Amino acid sequence: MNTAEQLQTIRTSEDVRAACMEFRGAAQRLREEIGRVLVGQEQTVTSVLVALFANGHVLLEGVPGLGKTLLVRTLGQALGLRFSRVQFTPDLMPADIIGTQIVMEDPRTGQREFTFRPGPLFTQILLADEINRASPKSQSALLEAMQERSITVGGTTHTLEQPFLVLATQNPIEQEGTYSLPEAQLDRFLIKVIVPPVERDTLNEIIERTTGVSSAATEVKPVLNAEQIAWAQALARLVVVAPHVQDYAVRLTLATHPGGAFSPSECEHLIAVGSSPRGAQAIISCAKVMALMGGRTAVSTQDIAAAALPALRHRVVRSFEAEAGGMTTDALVQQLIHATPAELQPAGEVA
Amino acid sequence: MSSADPILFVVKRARRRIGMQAVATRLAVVSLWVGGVLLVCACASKALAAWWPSLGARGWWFPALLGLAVAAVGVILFLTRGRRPSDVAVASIVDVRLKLHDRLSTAIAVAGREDAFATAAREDGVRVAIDRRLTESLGRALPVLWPRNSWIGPLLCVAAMAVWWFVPGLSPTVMKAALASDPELVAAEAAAQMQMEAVQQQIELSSELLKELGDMTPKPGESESDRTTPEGIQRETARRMTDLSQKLDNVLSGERTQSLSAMRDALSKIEPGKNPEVKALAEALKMGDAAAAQEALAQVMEQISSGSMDEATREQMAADLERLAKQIADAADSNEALRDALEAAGMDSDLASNTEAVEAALAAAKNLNAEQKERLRKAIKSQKSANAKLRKISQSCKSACSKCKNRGAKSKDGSPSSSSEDSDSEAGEDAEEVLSEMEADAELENAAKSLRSQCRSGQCQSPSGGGRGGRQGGTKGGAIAEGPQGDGTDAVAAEVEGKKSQMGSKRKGVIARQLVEAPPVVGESRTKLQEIAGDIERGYEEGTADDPVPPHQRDLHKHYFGDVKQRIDAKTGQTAPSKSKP
Repeated sequence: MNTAEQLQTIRTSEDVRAACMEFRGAAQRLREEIGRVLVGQEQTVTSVLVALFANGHVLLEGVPGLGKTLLVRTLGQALGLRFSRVQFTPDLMPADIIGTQIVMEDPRTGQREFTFRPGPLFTQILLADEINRASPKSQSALLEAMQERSITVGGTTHTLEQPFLVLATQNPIEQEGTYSLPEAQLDRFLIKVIVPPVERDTLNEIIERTTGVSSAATEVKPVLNAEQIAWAQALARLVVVAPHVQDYAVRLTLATHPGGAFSPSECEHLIAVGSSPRGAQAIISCAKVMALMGGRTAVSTQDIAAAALPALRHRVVRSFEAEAGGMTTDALVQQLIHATPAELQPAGEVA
Repeated sequence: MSSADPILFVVKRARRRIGMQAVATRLAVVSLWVGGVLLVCACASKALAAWWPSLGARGWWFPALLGLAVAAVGVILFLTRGRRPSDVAVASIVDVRLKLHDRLSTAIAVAGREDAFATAAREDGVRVAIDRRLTESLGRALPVLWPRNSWIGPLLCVAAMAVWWFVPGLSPTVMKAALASDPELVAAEAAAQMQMEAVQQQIELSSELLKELGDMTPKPGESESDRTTPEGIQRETARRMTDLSQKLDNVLSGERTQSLSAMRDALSKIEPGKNPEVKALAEALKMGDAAAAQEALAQVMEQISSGSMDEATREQMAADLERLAKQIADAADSNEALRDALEAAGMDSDLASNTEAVEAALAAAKNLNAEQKERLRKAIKSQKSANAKLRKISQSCKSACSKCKNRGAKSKDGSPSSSSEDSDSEAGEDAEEVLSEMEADAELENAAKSLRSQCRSGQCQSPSGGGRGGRQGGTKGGAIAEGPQGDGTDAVAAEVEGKKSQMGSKRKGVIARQLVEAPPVVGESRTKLQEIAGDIERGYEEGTADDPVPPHQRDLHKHYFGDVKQRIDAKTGQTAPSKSKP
């Protein structure tokens, strides 16, 4: 039974609740399986799972050694999906990622022909490690794959296997010799996750696990397969979003536009460029997944507010004044969320 | 949709509480305004009761105003009631306040959908709505509370009513009593009173001046100006002094004094004869001393009547009297004063001999304004009056001459001539009458001049006796005439007198004379403009000296300030000095 057939079996509210419970259970199992390898970083794992079920790509930002690569590798193992890792360097060429056409000779006929040799992009989970170290040309090679989930080489379009998830990492320090991702590239990432530094208990446990007697690598079992992931992604799209809740996401997105009708006056001068419509799409997609993870069948304004920060933080460009004042993008987005009322205002109801 | 009914019930309750809260908030704001307005009205009515006593009483107007205010509150609340919030909006407020993850609002919003997820959402909403905990927590989530400062509005209303009911209105007697206790005001009033009394005494010293001016003492309630401050009293006193000064100016430029002046001018060219009595008469007339002339005339008449003169003396007296009569008649015919006035007005002085021609010329003159014409008409009138008087004196002299001659012939013939004696005595009476008038006019002129000088000093003198600096000191220099003045003023007057005499000795007495005698400068003051003109010029020079003006705006800057300076110079009537410094 394919995904569409599975969804057609959901006919009553009881079916919805059952599917919702199943989704929640799957997410929980996945989280637990990853947690067997990765200590701490629960919020980061949850964010990555949200992006996975919302069928979006993730940009992970954090200093080295926080387990970004381990998270992605463990996720690939727990999902039973094919996993590739590309270490981005300044001399990396697009063909190194996408693949290339090579001349192959048929040993029987002796005939030679061009054959496409797929690159590491032909996978289901791609870890683009230190993506900002590659040249813009190589970064752009990811654009089509991330947006269209297909690659065109030599006039032939190759469709990538579903699900396809890009998890890129970047280091916020050591900016020398790096190429900051352009806004168009950043916009392709559904969310940007800031990997926080580990806490005291977490670090103790990491040390015990990695330097003790039982420091052997833990084997990760696959808990979800590609079909289940596709079903979960399709289920998330069915989650109800009431018009006034959707309008809250829209107002939040429009609040990032300086000079707009919904832009708070105290933030106007701090923003240079606001979010694209992809920001609102990302908020709603993530909020739907969050609602399902919370065991609810409809999106709430709390889900919207929770999804807004990871969905908007890489889509808002700070003004010179905000940068000079040391205001981070996270603080700016938080201020926007705080300034935008969640409740439907009686004077401005949604049609 | 029956499943949504519990949700709508919750929404209905929530809407009622939200509406009540909104009314409470608006009522607090409106009552604050209404209370404030009422309190201001009540206080103002009590304060204004000094002028409108009916406002201070507990009249009907305050309850009416109170009723109006209550009605206004109702109208304002009705007008600001706002639009009724929709069910989704109310449910959204409840969801946010109770952290219900938008279950209620979503259930209402997806009421029209039939898919499984929408049904599940609606059922979720109903489950939440029928939960007893929601009913309990709704009151806490949507409390109906009066705003924190809502007590201020009613308190203001109560205060306004208390003011209206308990506080008595200000009455004129209370205000007067309050004013009477102010020592500065009492001092200012006393000084002003003293000054006016001194002026009145000065007027009463001259019967002629008293006839012209009457009683100048201020009557109670005569003035409507502010006498509640020392400055107001000073202003009022200064105004009275100015009025009096203008009246005195009118007196001094009136027909009597002008006529006297014309007579003096005419008689100033008389040459005295050899006979001592006639000589005394002629010299008295020449000096304009009417009293002495009257006395000398009486002596002449007595000498003639006594018949004690020898023949030669009588002939000499007759000849001198005849010549004197002729000189006076010639002076009357010369119209010297009118001639001078015509010359000053730019008209032909030869017209003076024919007053009808002068009148016709005045009627046809286009280069004279109404004031100049009026002045010339006054001059004609006074000249006519002076001429009539001079002719009477001349006639008296002629009569005396003929009497003198007759007395000589009678003594030779021994025959009396009663008819000629009667006419002679009438002529003598006419002369005495003219000289009496002349004496009265002179007295009026002297008294008016003296009082005018005193008034001018009084205009600038502070009733409290304190001196003022600046220009007032200069004007005070004019207070050198008679009048009650303080020690300081006397000292200043003496100093100015000394300076004036020094200037006079150097033939440069113009400044002192102008300060004392020149007519007051009237019209728009130019002082401010002259002061700021210097500032503007200095600002321009400083602005351009440090070169803060961008090069492309330097011409604009220059033209702007240059234009302002030219306008100010044009208005103040000055020519712009090229390098003048303020």
